[in-house]
Amino acid sequence: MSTLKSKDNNIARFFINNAVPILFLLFAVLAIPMSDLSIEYLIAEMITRLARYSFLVLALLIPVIAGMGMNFGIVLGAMAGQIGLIFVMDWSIMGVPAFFLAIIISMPLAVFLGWMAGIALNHAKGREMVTSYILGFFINGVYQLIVLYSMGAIIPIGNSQIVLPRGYGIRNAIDLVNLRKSVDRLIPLEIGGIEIPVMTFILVAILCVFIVWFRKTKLGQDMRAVGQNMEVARNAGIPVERTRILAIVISTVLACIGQIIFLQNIGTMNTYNSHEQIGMFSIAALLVGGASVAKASIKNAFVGIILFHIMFVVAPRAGKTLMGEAQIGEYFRVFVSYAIIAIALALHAWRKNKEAEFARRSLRVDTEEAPGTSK
Amino acid sequence: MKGWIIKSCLIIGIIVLAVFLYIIGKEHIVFVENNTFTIDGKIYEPYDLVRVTLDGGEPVEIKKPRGRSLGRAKVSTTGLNHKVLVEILDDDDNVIESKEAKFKVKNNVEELLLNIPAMMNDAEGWVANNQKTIYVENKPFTVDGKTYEPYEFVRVILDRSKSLEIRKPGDGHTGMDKGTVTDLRHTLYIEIMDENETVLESKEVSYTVEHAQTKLLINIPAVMNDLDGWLTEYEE
Amino acid sequence: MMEKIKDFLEAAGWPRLIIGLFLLALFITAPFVEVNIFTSLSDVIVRFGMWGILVLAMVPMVQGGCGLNFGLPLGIIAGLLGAVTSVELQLTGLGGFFSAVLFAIPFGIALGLLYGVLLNKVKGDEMTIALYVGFSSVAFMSMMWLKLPYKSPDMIWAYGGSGLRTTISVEKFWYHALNDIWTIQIGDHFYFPTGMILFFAFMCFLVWVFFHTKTGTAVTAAGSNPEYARASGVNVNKMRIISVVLTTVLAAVGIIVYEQSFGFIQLYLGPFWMAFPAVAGILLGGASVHKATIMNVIVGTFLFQGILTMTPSVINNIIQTDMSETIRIIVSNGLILYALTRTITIKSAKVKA
Repeated sequence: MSTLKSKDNNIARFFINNAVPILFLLFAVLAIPMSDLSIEYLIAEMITRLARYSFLVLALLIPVIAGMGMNFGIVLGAMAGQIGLIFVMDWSIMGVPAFFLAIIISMPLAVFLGWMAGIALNHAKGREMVTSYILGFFINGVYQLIVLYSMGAIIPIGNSQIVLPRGYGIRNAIDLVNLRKSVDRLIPLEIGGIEIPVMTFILVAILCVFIVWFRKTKLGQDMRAVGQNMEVARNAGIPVERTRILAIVISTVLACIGQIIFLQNIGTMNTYNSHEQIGMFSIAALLVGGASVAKASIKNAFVGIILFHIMFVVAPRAGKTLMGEAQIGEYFRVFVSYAIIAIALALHAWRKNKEAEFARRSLRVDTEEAPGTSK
Repeated sequence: MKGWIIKSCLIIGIIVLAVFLYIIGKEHIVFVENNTFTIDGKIYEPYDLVRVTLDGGEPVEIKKPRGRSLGRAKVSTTGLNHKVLVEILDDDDNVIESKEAKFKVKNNVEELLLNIPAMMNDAEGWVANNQKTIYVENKPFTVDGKTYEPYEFVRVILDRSKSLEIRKPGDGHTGMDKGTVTDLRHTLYIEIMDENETVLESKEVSYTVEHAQTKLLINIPAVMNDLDGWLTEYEE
Repeated sequence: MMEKIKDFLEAAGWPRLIIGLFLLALFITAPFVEVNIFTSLSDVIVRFGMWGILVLAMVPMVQGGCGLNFGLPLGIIAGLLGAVTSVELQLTGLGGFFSAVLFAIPFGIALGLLYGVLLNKVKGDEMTIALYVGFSSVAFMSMMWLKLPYKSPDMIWAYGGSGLRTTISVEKFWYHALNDIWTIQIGDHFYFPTGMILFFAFMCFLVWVFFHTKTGTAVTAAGSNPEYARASGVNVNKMRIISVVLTTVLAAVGIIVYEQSFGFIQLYLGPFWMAFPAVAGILLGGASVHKATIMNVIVGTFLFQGILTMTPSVINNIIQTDMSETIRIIVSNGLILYALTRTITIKSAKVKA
């Protein structure tokens, strides 16, 4: 009798724990036929998007381990990467060397920004997500100060092609002709007419190996301890503040590399916009993959990217078929992106509250059942 | 102590790597031209049709210049060491003659000019920096015992794009300035002005720079008086 | 006397003093960089009036323990629905303004109830969820604005025929309905929108009265110490819902006041970012995530809008470039960041805000 019941419980729990990805799968199954898009097109799109976004989404995992929630501060890493790319374009560096050079020169900036973000978040314990969200905007303002006003004036830029006609400030759209797809095409492979960016996937695989290895290192274990309970970790001698800062620094650096990978795949950089949505898209994808604020795995990242981007690509078309206006589909896309984060966060918080209540109740039951125990 | 050494080595290693990437990744544009080349009085004629392959890339075919066509092609490459293969072709696209040569580029040079006739004849300067530095001096010029004085204030415009303002030497002014131009054919526009910036006199000249020349000196009083030798090679 | 000054300084808090002095410095510098003080002062006062009620809307939820309302757009949407309905019915003047408010209130209550029930289920994480509820609802309404059955030619797309426009002018209807009541105009440059300020004062009074009623005190109790309140017989969940409904309704009223001064109703993605200046305003005024007073609202809104107005104009004139947008981004987000990362120092112990 009890085994049957626990099996039901298991199935129920599976559905609750994976509610979000299942919802999205349902959406995909319903909407794909409505959108009139071929399966080949979708597969090609998904391969491209996996290559584009995996690194960035994986950059989110480490702060989750350290209990800091979804790190909107990856936007800071993205901005650092873009500054690196601006210099590389200015110096006319080409191809794969340009890619690695951009990473090397933006690294110090990414580390610095990550370190500052870590300090800020340490002062806002318990509200990391909102703080990192606002931090992203604040640093965006500073980024504009540098890129829109100082470059070409105080910071010398030799290549006048990337500078605005007024003489200073970088143009809004820069064609990354120097390194467009340079990493993607390093090892060329074509299956059924679809280009597979082998080298990019190799880089992503290296990151996955790194993350798995990192979890087992002392620093990784420290982060898990901090994530589970800060006070207990502190009592065990772990430098809690420093560990949290390190988690953010690593995440920011990975985001910097991820943004450069992203941009070399797309081939154009929108100097002032490319980084803005990165935070929201990456976090939405991770949450769609079944991750929560407290727990996120590599599997969540990949599943999430595929499901989220299927929705992204299919929604406008489906909206047009369903309601006659593509515009509705576009707003629907925005709505789903944000709603999914809201739902995922809400489910997590609800579950957390339920567990706390359950624990409280079981405590009460214990004290009731033990006669003679002093109150 | 050991940790500090390892960290320093790592940082130095990364810096070296960055410099290495910069050098092998930096783009250099090579203008390959099938044009007349003069040096020391010798003249080398262009060929009817040549095929040029730079560093094993896409071969490019250049005809002899005729009318408006410049007889030039633009190729881009990266890194410091280069190899160029030139094949002279006849009307049926057969190779009559072929030659290979190597050349090095200094890292900060962005544009090069490679002349085919010169290369086939091993002439000096067959490949040179296409960016020329023009030094303009507003200093006394002496010829045949006569000295022509510098002007109070001149404005010089190189190739209708770069503007230089030069006062006569003295009071902290050197009487000289410089600007960079690209390629071989240039114009110079001079305005002689007084203290109130009214233009007293103006003149425009055109001039051609030889392939091998990278630094040139123009003397303003000499130009204004149409004297020989107003354009010379600049010596430090 | 010194004691009194010292007490005032301590109560005000150093951060507010520094920002206040900075604002004063900007005002003093203004004439030297050819920025007219009186125009600037009027600008600041008008913006203060526009945002005042939206910032005031933060108070109930904070007092009720639901945190900073990053989901302000939800209430704003209720207000937009009221405004659009009023324009549809071609109502003008003060009557038009009040009818917009009247129509907005039921929407505000309905949305507030749903919102409150949701927040009760996610205690502890209200702020982040509020943020995304706000965003999703703006996106959701963007789909709706295209399809809702409004027909007035003042609001519909000109050639297409269906769906509301992105920006709807209220000039023919209730533009400046409040601002123009008993305006004080001194010379060419100084303009005081008495009506709007009076209305704001009236709203503050209503909120003050509410929090001195039995329900109001229960809300505050539920917010400051839920366990104790529960033990005293207060229905914490119900009080929280009341605070959320009140916040949402105030937001609805606030956006209509904003619109009558601004001159336009902004639909679609208009309300998307509007929570942030309101949050910044109240935090700057000294409120924390757990406690907010009406004084916080008044001081904070004035300081925030003051800095936001003065900094770009003064700096632009000093360096002769138009950097207003970038400066605004840095200043407003910097202020919010600062407030989010504060620690309150109570004389004996350090407590996280």
